[in-house]
Amino acid sequence: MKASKTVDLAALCRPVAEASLVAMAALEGADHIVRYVNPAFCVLTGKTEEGLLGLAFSGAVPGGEGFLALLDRVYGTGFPENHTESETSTSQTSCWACATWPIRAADNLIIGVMIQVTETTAFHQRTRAVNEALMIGSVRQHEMTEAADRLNEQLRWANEDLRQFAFAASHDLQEPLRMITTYSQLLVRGYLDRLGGEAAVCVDVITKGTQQMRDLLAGLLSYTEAGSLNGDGNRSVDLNLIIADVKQNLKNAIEETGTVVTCGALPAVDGHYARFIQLFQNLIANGIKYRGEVPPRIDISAEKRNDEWLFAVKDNGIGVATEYFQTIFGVFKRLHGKEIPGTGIGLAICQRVVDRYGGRIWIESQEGNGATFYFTLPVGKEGK
Amino acid sequence: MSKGPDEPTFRIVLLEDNPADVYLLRKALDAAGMQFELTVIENGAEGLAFARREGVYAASPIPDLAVLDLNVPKGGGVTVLGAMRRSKELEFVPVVIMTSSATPREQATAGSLGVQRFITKPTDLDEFMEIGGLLKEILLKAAVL
Repeated sequence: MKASKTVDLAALCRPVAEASLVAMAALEGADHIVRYVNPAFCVLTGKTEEGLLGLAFSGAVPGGEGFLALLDRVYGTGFPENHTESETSTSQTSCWACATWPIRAADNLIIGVMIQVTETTAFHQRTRAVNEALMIGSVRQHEMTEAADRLNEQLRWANEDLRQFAFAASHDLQEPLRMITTYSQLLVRGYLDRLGGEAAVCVDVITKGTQQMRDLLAGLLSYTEAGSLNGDGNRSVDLNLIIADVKQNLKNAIEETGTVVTCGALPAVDGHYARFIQLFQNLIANGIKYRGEVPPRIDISAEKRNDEWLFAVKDNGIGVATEYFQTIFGVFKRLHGKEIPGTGIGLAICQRVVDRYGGRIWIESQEGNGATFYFTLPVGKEGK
Repeated sequence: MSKGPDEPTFRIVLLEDNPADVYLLRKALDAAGMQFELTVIENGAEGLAFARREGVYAASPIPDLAVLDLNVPKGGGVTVLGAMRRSKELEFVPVVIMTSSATPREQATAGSLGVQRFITKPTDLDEFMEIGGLLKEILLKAAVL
């Protein structure tokens, strides 16, 4: 027996789900009518709250009908379920994972289903799976405290594995690459006449390949550092100084391309100097790198909204098509070929830094018409 | 550059476990036109023996320069540097750190112990060869003092 609609699902879910970085929606009744979506869900689906509320989940979300059987089961049986599915209909292979669990009214009757959706990549799958399980653990905490402890331990190990891997990658794997590069140069200098002209071409390919590998490894290390809880102390950082330093770091690129960087007054926020450099430098460098025909113009602004700062980094570059709004934040995900150099780690680093401080990051853009990256950061102790 | 017969021979101690880098450094020093005698120490334990003037190093001549890699087996270059700075005989020997990667902490520690130069091993052959000239400059400057 199911309860009639007596509970406002949005009011019920908002306090617990609103600030989550994981996309969540509350669906009411046997038709799974969307009654609540958190901001992360809107970002994930690229839709507004108004465009989703009141619709059946199967019609509201692209691919929503694929979840119908799952939602019916959870609503019917009351048992939470996890589900992973590879969505390979587009050229981009993405993997969707969702956790679903019943929402019960005070009388314990099922009134709807909570669904939480994440796009998982191979890189993240292990960590995310643990997070999803932890989410269910919090719903049924009394049953699952021990399991949650075990999973927490696994998460710690996963993070430690990743840290050690990145360290090895950056330090130990770089060395043989350096040897390959230097010694192939040595070979061609000393023996070019005996090897013939083709040898120079070969060495050029080797050198470029190893350089790319080094860039990727360096990017991987930066990515790991971006999520690190260690490092220099957490303190109030004046972001105006960060921008000044970033402009200095990017001086050559700014001058060569005639880039104009404008910046309103920025606040000081709590965090790590090096992390904020990573965040702003990647966004500004992207604005320069993905420029259009006209000289790049990058406008940075900040606006206080309740307990958080909303930042915008706006450029006049080539923009990003809507279907890639999520993809671009993936590790080593790139939309362009070798004509625009890069490793595809920059925005993944930005997302990791913002995540690390409890904020959100997203893009608004029209292809060919510039892009604006928005992100939020909590108001620091001094700003309150 | 040619080596004149009246040019001094510099004694250089190199803490380095990678023979490929030893080979490159010899080439770089040759390219800088320097007379040199290179003693290669392959691990930190032997490096400490050198710094403490023990064993085969008890009576060895004081080098004009020490080039230390930080990541070597059996203890790192920073330990060797520290022991050198505590040694009466080696306290003022110029030291150049030459390493492929160093944490900011390692850099800071090495800096506080007094080093002439901190070199990140370059990937590019030409840049590696320039190290020869750089070391020559440091040696000539130290010789004047």
